[in-house]
Amino acid sequence: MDPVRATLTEAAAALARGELSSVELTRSCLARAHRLNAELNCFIRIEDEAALAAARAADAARAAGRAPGPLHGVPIALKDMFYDPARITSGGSRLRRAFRATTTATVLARLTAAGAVNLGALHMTEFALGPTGHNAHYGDCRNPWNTGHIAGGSSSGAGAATAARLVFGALGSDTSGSIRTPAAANGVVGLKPTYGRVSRAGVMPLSWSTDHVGPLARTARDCARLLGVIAGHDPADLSSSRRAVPDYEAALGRGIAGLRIGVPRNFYFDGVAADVRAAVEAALRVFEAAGARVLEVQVPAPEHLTELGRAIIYSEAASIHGEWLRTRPGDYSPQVRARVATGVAIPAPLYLEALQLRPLLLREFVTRVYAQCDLMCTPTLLEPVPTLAATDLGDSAAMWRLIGALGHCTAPFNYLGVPALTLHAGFTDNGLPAGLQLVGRPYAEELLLCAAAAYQSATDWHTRLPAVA
Amino acid sequence: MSDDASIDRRDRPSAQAVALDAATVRVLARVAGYASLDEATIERMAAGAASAVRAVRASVGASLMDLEPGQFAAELERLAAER
Repeated sequence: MDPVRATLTEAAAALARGELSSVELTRSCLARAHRLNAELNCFIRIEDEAALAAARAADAARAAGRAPGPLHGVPIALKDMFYDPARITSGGSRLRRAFRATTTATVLARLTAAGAVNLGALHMTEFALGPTGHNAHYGDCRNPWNTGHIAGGSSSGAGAATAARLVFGALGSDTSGSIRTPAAANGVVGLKPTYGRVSRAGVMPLSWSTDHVGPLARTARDCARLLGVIAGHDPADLSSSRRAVPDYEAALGRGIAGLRIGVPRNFYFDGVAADVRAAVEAALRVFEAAGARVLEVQVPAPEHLTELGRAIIYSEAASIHGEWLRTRPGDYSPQVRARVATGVAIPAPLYLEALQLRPLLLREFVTRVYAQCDLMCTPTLLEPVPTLAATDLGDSAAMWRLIGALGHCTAPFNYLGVPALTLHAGFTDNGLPAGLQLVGRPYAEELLLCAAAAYQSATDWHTRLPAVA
Repeated sequence: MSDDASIDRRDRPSAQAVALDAATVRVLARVAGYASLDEATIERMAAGAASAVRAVRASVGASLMDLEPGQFAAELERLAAER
């Protein structure tokens, strides 16, 4: 097995067959991580000792005949915001540079129980705010396809490390697009599940009403494996659903014959770059060739969804960060300080109205859109992945416009809580990946993954290696 | 939920006219106890909050009186089951 070419599920199968040990695979990943992190800055901490100890334990368990989990011995990593009493969890911040939680994130516990080997803490933007991957405290994360370009954010390291083949999969969080933006920018699959599908217990919050946890990996099958491990009810997270977790991998082979894919011609293509549009249209032809039917749909009133979400995010972030804003404002970067403080200027009744409107707008969106189609398809980013220099805008008004532009297609679905997946759909003229977003009705993760798998079975974008790899 | 909770999201003139000036935001920040925020930060906060407030006001088209708090999660489950 070639550890650079193999996918997560292929690596798990090779380990199960005894082609190599978890220690060998982990050493290989760690060596690459150390070598490439100097260029990419996608890890905040690489934890060799803990990773090798976990790998040795996985090999010992297998040798003793103990039933292996679905990720047994497979190296992965998590954005630096999943609590683990054995490690520091910085949240990408100066304020928590030495923070050690007293609880373990439920999803981390589930990954560990499934046998995964955690290589360390992945880069993220400060407190999970910011779509570019800039970080004033830990340096900027760089894109493995071209290190002069952004890796996207806020799960910057999750996207970059997965694309560069340093890990077989990663976990990120998504409050306005923070899984999907870096997944698109780095050319991997990223899934923001339905609100409630995956526990957030023990995950650093930004906005408890719109935070989602989900996987990034190179293939739909890999994401299905990871989602199957982390999904499901958690008594420690009262917002988590009691709905049964389906066998996501089993759903992948169903094919997409007859699937209706809706393409919204209002809002989600406003200002789209010609090369991004071309990538999306080419992808739609792939879906058609696989038996899907592509049709235009009208999406009800999307123009306010992002700002409704921001009314919630700003208000909740201001309450989460209130004490530090009072006592340690200088420990934030200016842009993040301004964004978390903005909630103070949103009247409480309007925050609550934004929350109260959610079920109404969700119902309107689902009943109208999914009467016309089974899945909706949009670009993930309207423009090609920009350079680090062009987006190093500090706290200027231009930065706030950039934040709006990068989240144009992703943020509405955090407010609505519906599942959304991005996948690599070719390249734009600057040689960086183009992302395609699929959006489903609540708990339609199986369908999203099935469509993504059908696309990947007909294309080879996900097998391409970035320049640094 | 009553029938009058259906939404008419036409932008109303009052919603378009929302303006949060920096002086107001500075007072609110002081009330919250936020230590010395500079003028640039205050202006960004005013712009960000005004935009969010405008969206909320433009989106509420009827009384929300009979909506249950926390109905969102139940709605996700119900809409999934309708498939």
